[in-house]
Amino acid sequence: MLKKVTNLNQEQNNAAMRAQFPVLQQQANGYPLVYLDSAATTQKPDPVIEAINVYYQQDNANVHRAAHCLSARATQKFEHARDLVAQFINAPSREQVIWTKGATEAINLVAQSYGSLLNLGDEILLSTMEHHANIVPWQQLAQQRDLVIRVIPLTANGELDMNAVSELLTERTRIVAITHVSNVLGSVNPIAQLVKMSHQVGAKVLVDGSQAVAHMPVDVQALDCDFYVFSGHKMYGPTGIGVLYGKTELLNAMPVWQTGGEMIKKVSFSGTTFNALPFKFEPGTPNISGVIGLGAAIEFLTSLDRVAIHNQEQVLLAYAKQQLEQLSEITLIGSPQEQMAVISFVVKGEHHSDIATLLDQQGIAIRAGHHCAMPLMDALGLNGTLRLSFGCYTTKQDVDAFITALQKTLEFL
Amino acid sequence: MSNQLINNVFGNEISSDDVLDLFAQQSGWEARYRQIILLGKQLAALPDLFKIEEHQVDGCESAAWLVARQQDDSWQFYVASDTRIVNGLLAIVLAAYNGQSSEKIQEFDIEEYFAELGLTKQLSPSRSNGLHAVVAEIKRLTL
Ligand SMILES: Cc1ncc(COP(=O)(O)O)c(C=O)c1O
Repeated sequence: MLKKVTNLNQEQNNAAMRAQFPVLQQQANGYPLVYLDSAATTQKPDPVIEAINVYYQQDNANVHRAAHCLSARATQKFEHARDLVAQFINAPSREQVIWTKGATEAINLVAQSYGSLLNLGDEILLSTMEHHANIVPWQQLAQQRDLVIRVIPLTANGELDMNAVSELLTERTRIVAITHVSNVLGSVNPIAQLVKMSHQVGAKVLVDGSQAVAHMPVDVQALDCDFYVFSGHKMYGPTGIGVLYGKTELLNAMPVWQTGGEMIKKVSFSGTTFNALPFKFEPGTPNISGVIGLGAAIEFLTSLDRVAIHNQEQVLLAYAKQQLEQLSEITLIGSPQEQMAVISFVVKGEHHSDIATLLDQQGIAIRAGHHCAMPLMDALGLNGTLRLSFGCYTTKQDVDAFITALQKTLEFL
Repeated sequence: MSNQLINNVFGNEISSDDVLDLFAQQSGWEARYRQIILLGKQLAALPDLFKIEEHQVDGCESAAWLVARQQDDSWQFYVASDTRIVNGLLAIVLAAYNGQSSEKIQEFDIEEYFAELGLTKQLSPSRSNGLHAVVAEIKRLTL
């Protein structure tokens, strides 16, 4: 179970933390694995893996259905995870937490359901730094319903251009869909301020929290956002599970999206009445093990000293940037005031994929490419970047090993 | 840059056996990748006018181009990519395919060849380097 990692010195802390992540205990291409791709997906700690195993070994049953004790136990754990998520993001009620496959499905749900209430000429405001998951569903909607998409540009250091926001927000703006933290630049966006500005013109705000939830406290009431979405697998939980949080009055007003079993109250061939929140948006047998695993991930995260983890990630971020800046061939991409656990850079005269391949030969896992943010790459005039990203298990040794391998790679080419 | 397609040394002067011999002498990733990059530098440049969508092969994270010409019974392939390592890997592929008949190309066990070179992972479809797609396209053209 969870090992308490307090009252130890930094090195012991790190060792105790890393010991909980079985994947990290291996060699890659003959070198100790250095995993610096947590923004793509985080590794999973023992308690998460254990919770999923226990569910399949001891509790497996369909939820909300049968009268038997297995089903009762599975349902209890499943619904407890909803409570944990509600607390974790400070949602006013558990019914506002809707299970989805991930951030992508949550955005699609809002785009198709809330989006169906929008009309010709209504405007959607996105930003240049959005992940494709927060662009394409809106583009599809815009095509279906003749809506207009507007895009917030970035400043030279990779932040939202807030001066442009006031001009782009109009009385036609219906929804603003914006990332909390950029998956390429690490920029943290001023969500509370954006929400306030958007509400002034009557627009709703969806926040893509995919890159935020593992790294900073999220309080949906303090942000006052209308929707907040994220994926479990980027916060130490399993893949295939994510969350849509929404304000109750909006979720109630929204038409159902996908339909089927579980989400109905009464079905006859003359018509169907739908279940209440949250079940109205959860048709079919859900990803029960995923939900239970995500619950365990939240218990894991909340058991940590999150301030200490945040500080450690910030120290590593500053250290890695400083180390990278000493290499003349390297250019860091973006220098936002507030940056979270992600650094992008390019190497002069070299293709990012060559660098990543040679780093991989030395056991270093980082990401190379457009990071599902092609419009951002276009705006930056790049065809891709190299990205390193951190998690609670990342250490200074990881950064040092990465820098050493990078130097070797640069000499090599 | 000339607009002419220039035949590669790979497959014409440097055979797949030559490549296997070359790699048999390299141990460790550094020696192998140094060799890959050196081979890539010997690829004949693909004129820009051929770098069009029609010749582009999906590589997701890097762009690769493939132009194929058949004369009598034998094929010549002309390739380019924007990365050094993929260029080297493409050179290795061409060493096996250039100057060969469709039959010979279909018969050649490319997986075995890459396995012997210690480069199996580079050929895998899960790699987004485009190499798998180039090989698949060559096999399709020579069916
Ligand atoms: C900012 C951001 N939004 C959305 C997503 C999509 O998440 P998922 O693929 O888990 O649905 C990602 C994942 O890469 C992301 O980084």
